[in-house]
Amino acid sequence: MTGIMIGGVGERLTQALLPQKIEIFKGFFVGPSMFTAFGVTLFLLLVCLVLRLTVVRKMKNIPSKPQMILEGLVKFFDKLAHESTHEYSGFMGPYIMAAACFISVGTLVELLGVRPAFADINACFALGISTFLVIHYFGIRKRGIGKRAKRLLNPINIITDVAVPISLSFRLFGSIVSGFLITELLYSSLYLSFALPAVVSVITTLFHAFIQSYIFITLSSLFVGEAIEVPSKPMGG
Amino acid sequence: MIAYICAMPLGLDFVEILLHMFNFALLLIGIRFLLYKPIKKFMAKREEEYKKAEEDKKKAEVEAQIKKKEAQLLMDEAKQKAVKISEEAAAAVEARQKEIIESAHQEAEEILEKARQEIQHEQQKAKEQMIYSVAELAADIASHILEREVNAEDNDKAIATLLEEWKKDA
Repeated sequence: MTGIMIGGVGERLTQALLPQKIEIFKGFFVGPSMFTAFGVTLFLLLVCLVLRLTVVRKMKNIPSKPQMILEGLVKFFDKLAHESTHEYSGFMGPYIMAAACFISVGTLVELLGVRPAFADINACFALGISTFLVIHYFGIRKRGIGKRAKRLLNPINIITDVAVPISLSFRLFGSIVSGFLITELLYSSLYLSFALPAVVSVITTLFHAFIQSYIFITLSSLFVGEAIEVPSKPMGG
Repeated sequence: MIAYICAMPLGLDFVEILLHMFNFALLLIGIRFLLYKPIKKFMAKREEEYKKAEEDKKKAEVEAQIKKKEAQLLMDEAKQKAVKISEEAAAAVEARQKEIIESAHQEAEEILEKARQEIQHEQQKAKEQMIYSVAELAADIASHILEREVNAEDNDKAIATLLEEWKKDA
């Protein structure tokens, strides 16, 4: 079996998981996923700008097809945010929309042979911590710093709060990396590296891109909704 | 140096995390202001317009209903007025008819009365003429019989006596 592998599998997987960092300034190194992340952001912002100047500018009461798609997307995210976060959906709507676009496009770039942005634990942690900050910001804003701090007297709540960014990050990282590793493994085998990766990578990438973005935004809005929820009974230990 | 300080197991790097967060914040701001907010604003405006149009439609329907009722009331009133005018006209016609008939009756009565009076007068006149004629004839006969002339005074006396007798008889 080892005879048909191109190079060592372990070495290849380690390289896929922890790629060589690139020096951008003197002594300052970043992973290749950072370039993908910024590239994806730039691409998405350009798309937004183009849509803003074309479709959004010419929006009519009787919508065109692109307008319908855009309105449908905004409505979907707004509804999802509103169901959990109610009065804070003005921020949470764009937040989950940005997260969904970022995760989807950041993963789909793999189809172009680019390393996905979320194959890097730092990108996943960045999103997890962002959600963590949003949860606590709205929790404090809604219920006040006193009540929010009071719940930390219960150690279980501390563990729950700390677990949120970790679980969000690792779930995302694990799913994206698993798809990425499957593709890498297929490429590492000589017999399997013909045609099959084209099918498998498309399936795993598409599957993970949309499923993971949906899971992430649903959990984010649910956690924020939970943080701003006023309990009917006083919390007991 | 920074990379060395920040390097952690599993490839964790705080600086990279912060950079990714900054990157995501940029994307969030961009999506919010370039796409999400204008579309949301447009949708809210359109919804408002539809609501207003719906309210205007309902208002117009209510107004139309009120106007329809008012028109119906006016129609009923007009119908009642028409009936009243018709009845009044019929009554006036009847009254006028009666008046004309009465007037005609009265006129006829008057004409009849006048005719009666004229007939009576003519009768009286004829009677008187006849009396004079008879008296003259009687005077002539009497003159012949008496062979003398009966004067006017005798004649008038005889006529007056005769007339009184006739009047008594009548």
